[in-house]
Amino acid sequence: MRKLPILVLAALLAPSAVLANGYVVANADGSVARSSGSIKIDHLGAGQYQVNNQTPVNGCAFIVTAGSSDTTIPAVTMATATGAREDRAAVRVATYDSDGNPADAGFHLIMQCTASVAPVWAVVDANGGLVRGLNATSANHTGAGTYTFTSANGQFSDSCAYTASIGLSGTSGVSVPGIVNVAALGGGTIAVRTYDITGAAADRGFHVFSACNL
Amino acid sequence: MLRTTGAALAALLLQAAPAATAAPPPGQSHTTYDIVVNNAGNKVRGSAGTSAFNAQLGTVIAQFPIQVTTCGYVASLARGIRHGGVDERPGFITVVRSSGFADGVFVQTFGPNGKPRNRPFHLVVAC
Repeated sequence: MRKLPILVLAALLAPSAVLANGYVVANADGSVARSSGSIKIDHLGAGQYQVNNQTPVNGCAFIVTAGSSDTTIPAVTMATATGAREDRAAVRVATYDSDGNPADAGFHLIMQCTASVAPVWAVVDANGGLVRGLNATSANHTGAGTYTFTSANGQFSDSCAYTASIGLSGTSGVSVPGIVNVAALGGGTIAVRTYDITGAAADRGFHVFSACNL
Repeated sequence: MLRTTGAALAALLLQAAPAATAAPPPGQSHTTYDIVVNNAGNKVRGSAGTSAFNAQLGTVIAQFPIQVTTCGYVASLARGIRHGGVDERPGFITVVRSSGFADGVFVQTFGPNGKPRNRPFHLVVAC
């Protein structure tokens, strides 16, 4: 029992590893286009990046989507993420072409560490219909695998990161796999491109999620 | 339909169950949840009240402490181990709400050839 006050005091004085949400939009050369806080990226090799944060993120979830920071429509790219083994504050991002070969590409990475307010999210079906969402204004299908999505926040596309996943809007059935990439068009609108597993443009439903000023 | 395998067919049948109808609870409309799942379909870490189980090859149902029928889901192939590691391999991942669980998200993962494979992933749900 006498140890209890000491333990409490030690807990109060111990340095705490605060988990904080974060995001970064990176260019293909590893430069940071925009981010929350101070984030640096090391370009380790073809399609290999290490995102270095100021605080530990090893307890977080990493959502990454290949895409450009501006209006450039990116090449067909897959992206994956993992925590860095040697550094609790770092995330390794790998990008691949449609054949699965490492290839440099821009990406949007969201590090979800604690529950947060998602400023914009939406579910869009393969026909471009906006099914549901938050601060979502409209969605359009303008060609095979070609969509635009507009949020209610006019700054959305210029200051945020956005990730997307292939997915259905309802409950029935399952989606065929594919690739989804994003690009910023400005004025609150982003471009979303979907492809089949060979990299050919193909209609797919998707879910999109943003992180801004976390 | 892409390479409909037995596993994919089973997944379709699994998703054919009647849906539970329910709205998200009041006051939860702006909340996010996350879960990290390893390639065995087990939860590694995540928001309180989340869980996951492997339904079949390449298929995991992740469950959350609220009903997620009206939410959005984003997921990435990503390592699901506690201490990080090497880059995760390429592949594909899809999401859809679970037909059998109002609090569940049906996640399918595929290898580079489009065939179902058990792969680790990170999933965020925004409601």
